[in-house]
Amino acid sequence: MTDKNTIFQTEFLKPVQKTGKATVLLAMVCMMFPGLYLMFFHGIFPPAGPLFQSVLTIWSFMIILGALEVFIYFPILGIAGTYMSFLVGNILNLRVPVSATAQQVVGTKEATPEAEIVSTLGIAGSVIASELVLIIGIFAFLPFINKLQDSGMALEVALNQVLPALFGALGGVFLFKVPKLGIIPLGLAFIIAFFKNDVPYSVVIPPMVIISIVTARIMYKKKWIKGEGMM
Amino acid sequence: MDNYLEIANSPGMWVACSAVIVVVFVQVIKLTLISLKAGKELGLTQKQLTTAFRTGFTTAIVPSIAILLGLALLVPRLGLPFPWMRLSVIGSVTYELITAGVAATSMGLEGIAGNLNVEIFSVIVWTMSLGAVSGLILVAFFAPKINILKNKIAGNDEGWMQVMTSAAFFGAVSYMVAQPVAKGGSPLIALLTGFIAMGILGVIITVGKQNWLKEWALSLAIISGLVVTGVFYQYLGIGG
Repeated sequence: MTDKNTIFQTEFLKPVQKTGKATVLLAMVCMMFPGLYLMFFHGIFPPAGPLFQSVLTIWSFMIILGALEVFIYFPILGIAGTYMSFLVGNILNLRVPVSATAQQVVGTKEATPEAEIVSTLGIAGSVIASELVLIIGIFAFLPFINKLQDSGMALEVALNQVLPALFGALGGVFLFKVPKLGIIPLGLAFIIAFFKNDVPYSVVIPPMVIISIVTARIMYKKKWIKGEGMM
Repeated sequence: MDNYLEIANSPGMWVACSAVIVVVFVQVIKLTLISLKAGKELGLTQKQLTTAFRTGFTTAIVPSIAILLGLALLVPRLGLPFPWMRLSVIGSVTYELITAGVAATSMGLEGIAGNLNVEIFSVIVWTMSLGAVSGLILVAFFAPKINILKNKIAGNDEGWMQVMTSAAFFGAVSYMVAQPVAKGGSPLIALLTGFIAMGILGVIITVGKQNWLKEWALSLAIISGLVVTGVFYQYLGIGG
């Protein structure tokens, strides 16, 4: 048994950490290429003020959500699975079920080195599938791209409403699953919106995130809500 | 207006967006090879290893097709290569739409369907790219020590972590939920239709036991919202 653990350490964990770290860092650099391309090949520099505001707004909740997501799913995905899943995304709806299914189909015992390798291979297979489907998908899109972009007025009006439609759909899910958590932030947001419905997101989102977390903490401490979330 | 889409769909943009996808493939192939080798040494059979990989591959196909539906929502505004890259890496339709919306409003627009130009497009591109790296930094540097870090920062209270995730998310989206209600017109129609469509889909999934629909529900609800909004405007003259 100790032998197995040594093999797992030297043959799996070590090389995985090396490859994982290097590829994730490289990927982060490559993710900036589209923006850099606009800068250096077309001379398009984003105005600093608005960019700063929007990035801070996104970070005000993404840093918290990102860290919690890593904490929550790391035990399920394992280390190699974590590198791949957080790079490619769709963790809850794709990588987690895939990891469980692969272990179940192969029939390894939970929380063993064998299980982690099977889970890793399952996730690897799923990543290849996702990327290939997307590549095939964009070729299927190509012929229609002009039609989609050359939209008529009705389509224009409709496309303007992608965000409200998204929030209607999400609102339904969350209110059904965790209604008590929604009362304070939604209530407050409705009050603000009825007085002023064009507050910039960068002004309203960061404080709302803090208020929502603080009130949730109080409700959790007082045991008004149990330890269950949207995930 | 057409100008920025030409740049957004230019060959150079395709190349810039492809780089990170290549890295994804390199990573997966290397990690697969490491797992195969270590797996054999641990006594797993070739058949077990192949089954694991194949199971992952086949399980992921349908949910991945569902991601394409999200691509269709982003392409009209942002061209093809950039949304493809965004949804291929860390992507989730929810995050991309929220981020694009935040970036567009910071430039004084009402949303991503306003009159975009090259400058606004570049703010959207940069916001999406920079906004998404926060989780990756943690993974890149601390993956081997996640459990230690988790105990230090979040304690060992799994329940609270779940609650905090939902709370952060509610805080982030609550104003965007309230806004369409306050505005009325097309935004309200879209919000209500999305809400109702999700409710109906939820009933079909749980009562009708149609679990496969889960992956599609969000995109289908958004599209229902758009279609109904478009119909109200075109045929009834409501909204705009």
